Amino acid sequence: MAELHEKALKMLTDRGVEEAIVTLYESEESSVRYANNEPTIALSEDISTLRIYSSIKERCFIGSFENVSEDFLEKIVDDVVTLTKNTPPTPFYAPLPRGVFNYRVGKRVERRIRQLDEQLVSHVSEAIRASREAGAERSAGILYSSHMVEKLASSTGLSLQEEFASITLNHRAFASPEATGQWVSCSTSLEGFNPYEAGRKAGEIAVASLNPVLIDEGTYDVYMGPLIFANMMSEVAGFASGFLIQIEMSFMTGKIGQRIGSEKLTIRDDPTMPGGLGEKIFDDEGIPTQRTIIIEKGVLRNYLHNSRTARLAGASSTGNAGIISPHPWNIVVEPGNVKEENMMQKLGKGLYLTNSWYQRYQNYKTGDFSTIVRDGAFYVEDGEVKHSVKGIRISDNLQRIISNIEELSDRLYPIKWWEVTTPTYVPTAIIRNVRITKAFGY
Amino acid sequence: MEDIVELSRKILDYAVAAGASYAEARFHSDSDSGVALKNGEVEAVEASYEVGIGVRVLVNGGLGFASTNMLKPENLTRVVDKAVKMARASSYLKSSRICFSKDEAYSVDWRVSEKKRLEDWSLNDKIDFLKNLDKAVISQGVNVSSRYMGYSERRTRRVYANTEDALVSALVPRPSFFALITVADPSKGVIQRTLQFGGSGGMEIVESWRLEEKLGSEVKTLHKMLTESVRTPEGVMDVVVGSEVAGIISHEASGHPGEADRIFGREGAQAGESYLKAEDLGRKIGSEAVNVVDDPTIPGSYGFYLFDDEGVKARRKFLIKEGRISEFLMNRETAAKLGVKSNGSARASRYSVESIVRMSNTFILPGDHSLEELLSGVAKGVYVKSFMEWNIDDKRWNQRYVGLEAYMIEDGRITRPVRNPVIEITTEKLFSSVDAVGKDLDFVAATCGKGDPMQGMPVYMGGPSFRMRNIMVKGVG
Repeated sequence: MAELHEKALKMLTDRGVEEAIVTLYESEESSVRYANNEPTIALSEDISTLRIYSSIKERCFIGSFENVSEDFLEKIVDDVVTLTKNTPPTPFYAPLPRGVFNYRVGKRVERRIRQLDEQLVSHVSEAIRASREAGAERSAGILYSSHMVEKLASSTGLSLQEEFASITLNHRAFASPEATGQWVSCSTSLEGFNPYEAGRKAGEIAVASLNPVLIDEGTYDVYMGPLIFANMMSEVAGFASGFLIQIEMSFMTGKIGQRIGSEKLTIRDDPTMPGGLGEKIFDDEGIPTQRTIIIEKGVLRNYLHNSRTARLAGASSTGNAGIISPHPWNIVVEPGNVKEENMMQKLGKGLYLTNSWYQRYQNYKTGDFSTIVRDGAFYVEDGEVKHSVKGIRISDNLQRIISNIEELSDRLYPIKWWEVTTPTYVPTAIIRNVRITKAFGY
Repeated sequence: MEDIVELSRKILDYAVAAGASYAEARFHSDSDSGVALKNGEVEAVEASYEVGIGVRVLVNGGLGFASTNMLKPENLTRVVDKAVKMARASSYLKSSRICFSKDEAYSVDWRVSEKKRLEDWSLNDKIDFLKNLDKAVISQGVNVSSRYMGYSERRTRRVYANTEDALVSALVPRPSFFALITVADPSKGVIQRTLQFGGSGGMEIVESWRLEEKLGSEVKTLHKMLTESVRTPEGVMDVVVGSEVAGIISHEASGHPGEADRIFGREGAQAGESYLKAEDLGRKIGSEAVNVVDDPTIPGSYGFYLFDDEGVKARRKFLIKEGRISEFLMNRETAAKLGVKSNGSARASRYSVESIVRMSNTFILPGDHSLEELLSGVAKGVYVKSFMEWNIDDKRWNQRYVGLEAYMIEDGRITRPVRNPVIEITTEKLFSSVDAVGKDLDFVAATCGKGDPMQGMPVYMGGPSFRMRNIMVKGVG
C-alpha cells in the first residue's frame, strides 16, 4: 500500500506538476530539562511532517504540512498545484537531478535510543552527580533522545528512506554565579554516550573558574577548547553555503582557490562518516551526499551546493540541498599532530578559553564579528593556568581567526548543542593574536 | 471550535483520571505563506501549515509535556499518557513540588482584526509589491551589489484550556518583511544592513511601514556611511542613541534579565541566568530618567496578545521605574515562587513546545526632549542611530553595540559620519549614564530567541532617542 508521501507524489504528477519531491518526516523526541540539580520539566513529541517541492515550467513552490490525513491530502495537493501554477517562473530554477545514483548502504541506527523516555532522568542524575563530585554546587542542562525516519519520493523516480537516532546532553555546572563550566556528550549510540564524563568535565571547569579577575583589553594568543572552537568552525563551514555566497552574506564570497586560512586548517563536510551525528545518505533533492573539502590546508576549495546554486555557479551539486539554501551536514576539522596534553605548553602565554556564545556580525562579507566568551576562561603563563578571567569578548574577524591558527591537537570531539546546531567534530586549537575586548564600567 | 473545546475537556478529564493534579491542553496552528526575491527576481514561493496539540501536566509536583500533530482520538489519549509518564519521571529527583500561582480563570475569545484583509492581497500583488521595493533600492544611484528580501504572513490560532476552567481562544494574523542589503564601493569595500518589520493586523500594518521610502533612504545612508565615514575618535564622551539602539538596549539589558525563569536558573545551560536575583525588586540600576516597560497590549504591535499561553490576562509591566527594578516578567510557576500572581508573560512559539517566560513589546518610555535638545547639550560626542553587531553576556551585564549609521556631535550639532563606533559597557554603567530621554518613541520588530528547543518569538523593541554622559566609545579594528 502506498504511503502518504507516495500518494501525494502521484496526485501531484496526475494533476500536471512536472517535477516534485515529497518527503515525509516521522519524528519522535524525548527530553529532560533540568536546573538547580533537579528536573524542571520532561518533554516528549511525536510529529509527522509532509514537505513538498513542486515545479511547472520553471514555476516553483515549497511547502510543509502537518496533520495530513487522506481527506486533507486532496486539499493540500489542490493548493500546491494552484500555487505552483500562479507563481512566476524563477530564473533560479534548476531541473531536478536525474541519473543513476549510488547510495551508501549499511548505516547503523541505535533504535534503543527511541525508547528511553523516563530513563533519561537517570542519565541526568548521573551528570549532576559527577558535577557535584567535582566540586560544583549546582547544574543545569538538557538531555535529548531523538529518532526520525525520512521517506522521500520524487517525480524523477527516487524512492528513498533513511533513519536517524541520537542522544545529546548539554550540561552546565555552577561553582558560583560567576564560575561556570560547560560540556556536552553527543552520540548516535548508547555506548558512545557518557553523561558522567560531561558532568565531571563541566564541574572541573566550573571549580577552576572560581574567583575570576578582569584583564586588560588587547591581543592575546588563545588556546580554544572544543566547544568554542566548534562554535567558530561551524560558523566557518556554514559560510560555505552557495546560497550565502551568492547573496554576499559570506566572507568566502569570490575567494575559491585563495588562501583564506592557516596551512594547518582543513575543514570538510563529511556526512559519510559512519556513526557521525550528522551522517546523511541523501539530501533534500534525493542526491547522494558526499565528503566535500571546504578548506584544504588554508585554501578555499569548494562551496556547498544544491542544484540551484550549482547551476548559477556553473558547478555540480555537492549533495547539500536544502532546496533553497545548501548547508553542511557533518562538519569535520582535520586534527593536527600535537598531543592535547601538550597544547597548553605550546600556547606558553595567553588565554585558555572553553566556550563562547552569541556570535554576531557587523559585516558578513568581511567577517567582522564579536562573540561572548563564557564559562571557563583562564590566563596562562609558561603553559600553566594562573587564574580565571571574566567579562571578555572576542572582537575580531573570522578570516583573521582562521589565518592565525597555529596548532591543532590530535583528537576530535563531537559537538552539538544549543549554540552549535550542525554537528561539528573538532580538535582543540591554538590561535595567535586574537583581539580581546571588555566592557566599560567593570 | 466547539469540537476543539469538547475535545479539550475530554483530554483534561482523561489527564486528571491518569493522575494529574493539574492539566492544560493547547491546540495551536500556524498557517504561513511567503515569497522572497533575490536581486529582484522571485526565488521561491513558500507555504506551511503547522498544527498540533501540546499537553502539560503536573504529577507529584513534577512537570511533564507531550505534543503531537497527529490529531486522531487514539493519539490524543496517548499524548496525555506520555505527558503524565514524563511528569512522573521528572518528579523523581525533585526536592520540592512545582506549583502555580492562583490566577483568575478567563473564558474568552480574542482576535486581531484586519482593517484590510491580508487574504485579499494576491500572490501577484505581493510579488509586485516586493518588485517595487527592489526598484526603490536599486534606483538611488548607489551600487547595491546584493539584495535579498521577503514578505510573509502567519495566521496563528490557539485554543487553550486548563483544569481550572480557563478557556481562551485567539486568532492573530502577523505580516512581516525582511531585507538583507549589501552596498559596495570599489575603493571602500562593502557595507551591510539587515532589516525586519512586523506587526499584527492586516494590510494596513504593511502600509504603515512605508517600506519604499525607508528602503530608499536606507540605501543612500549606507552609501554615505561607506564612502564618507571617518574612523571614530576613541575616548570617554557623551553618546546619543536613536530609537533602534534604545530598543535593543531595552530588550537585552532590561527585558531578558527581568525574566523570572532566568532569575531562578531555569535557562542556566542555554541563554543563561541574570544579574538580578529574586530579592532585587527595588534595586537601583540606572538614573531616574530610565523607565522600561513590557506591554503586549499595544494594538498592531508584533508582540501583541491579550491573554498569554497559560490563559492569564496580559498587561503592561514596569520592568524599570525611575531607575529601579520594579517588576519581573513571570509565568504562573515563577509567580508562585515569588508569592504573587502571574503577570501574563508565558508564551509558546508552537504547539510542540512548553510555554516559557517571554517578552512582548519591550521599550524605554519616552521623556520630553526633542532630538535637537538632546544633541544641544553635547560639546563632543557620538550619535548612534542604527547598529548591526551586538551581543550581551548570559547574565545580561556586559553588552556591545556597534553603530552602523553614526555621526560625530560637535558643539551640539551633528557633523561628520563616523565608522562603526563601539559601545561596550556594563548594564549599570549604561543605565546610570542616561541623563535625558527623548519623546520620539518608535519600535522595530524582531524575533527573540530563547528556550531549548529554541523558540523564536515575535517582539517589538523600542524607545526614544536618549543621551548618556561620559561613556567610553571605541572604534573597530
